[in-house]
Amino acid sequence: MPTNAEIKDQVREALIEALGVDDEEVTDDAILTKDLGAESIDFLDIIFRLEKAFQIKIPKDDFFPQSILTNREYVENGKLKPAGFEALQSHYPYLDFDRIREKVDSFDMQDLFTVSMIEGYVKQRLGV
Amino acid sequence: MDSNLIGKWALVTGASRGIGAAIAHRLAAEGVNLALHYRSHRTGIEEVEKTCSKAGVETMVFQADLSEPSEAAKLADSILDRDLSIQILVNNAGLSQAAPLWSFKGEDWNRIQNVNLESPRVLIQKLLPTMLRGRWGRIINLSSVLSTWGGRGNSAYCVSKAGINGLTRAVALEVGRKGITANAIAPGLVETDMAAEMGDEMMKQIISRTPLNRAAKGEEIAEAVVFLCRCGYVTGEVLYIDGGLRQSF
Repeated sequence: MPTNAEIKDQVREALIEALGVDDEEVTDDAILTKDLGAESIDFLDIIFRLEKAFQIKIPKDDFFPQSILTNREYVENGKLKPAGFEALQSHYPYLDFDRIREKVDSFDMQDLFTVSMIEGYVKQRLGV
Repeated sequence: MDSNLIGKWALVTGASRGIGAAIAHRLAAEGVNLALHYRSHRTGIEEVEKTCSKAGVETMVFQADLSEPSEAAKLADSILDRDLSIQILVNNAGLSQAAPLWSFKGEDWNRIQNVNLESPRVLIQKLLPTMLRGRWGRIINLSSVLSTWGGRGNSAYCVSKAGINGLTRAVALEVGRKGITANAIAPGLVETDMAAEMGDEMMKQIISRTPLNRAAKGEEIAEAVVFLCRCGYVTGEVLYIDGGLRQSF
């Protein structure tokens, strides 16, 4: 089982290779799209690299809270409803909920995908 | 130019005859291993497989009726189950049915869209990860001059081919940065069974409007496929191989 430090290093390596960014750009809070320039195809690439690095299978729905964030029951006019918040907490406990709480009125899905979120996901999957 | 296609795997749909068979033969001559798809022409695909094998490449044959909505996904899954790393996808299988729009049955319309547009979409989605892993891929969709100009009695076909042009351009934008290109080839009249179904009179009319005054041979379309495989700096294009036909529309 990899240590936290090893997970961090391998996640960073996957992001550097997939996105072609410099090491110092990959900070914990960096948003993959806005800060690191990730496009949709890059997420697929990141998933492959994580699968390979950690020997896990990552279903797309498992990684992206798409089903919640495109559901009108949970999000309406860009605003995350309480039910949506609960659904995210229940299915994606590794997300940064302080950040989500701060922006609950002008919620931007892209902001969820930070470097630390990816690390959190991997840790949850590996049970670390 | 990326001249070394040797050892790469290609999936060619509709490879049992016509343009698809010509593409398979041409790719085999380039040393490309082939996953050959066919719908029902078993003897045709066996012949194509035999010829390709003689060129010294590996081949595998897959059957699927792409007019059925779930079959493209099953085809892709069968390929992935066998661990074939498809890096060249040639969406060639096509279906046409001439009828005025007012008489078109919904199920016939859907069958044409399933073969010509939906199955390429599914195959691209399913096989893209393999190309992504290798940081190299070629998606080549067979379109038609009728993608740009209307064809009387060919509404379903025109829609599907216009759609494939749009799909090609959009996919090219999404995957380019990963070393994957997506292009379409739009033939005019080609010497195929599908063209023969139009009848001699119609074929003569089209040839008379074609500046080169003849139909294309399947091999000439296949040549364009090889060019698009080799050239990694062409993407999002619709390449007309039509003998100049579109200039006379």
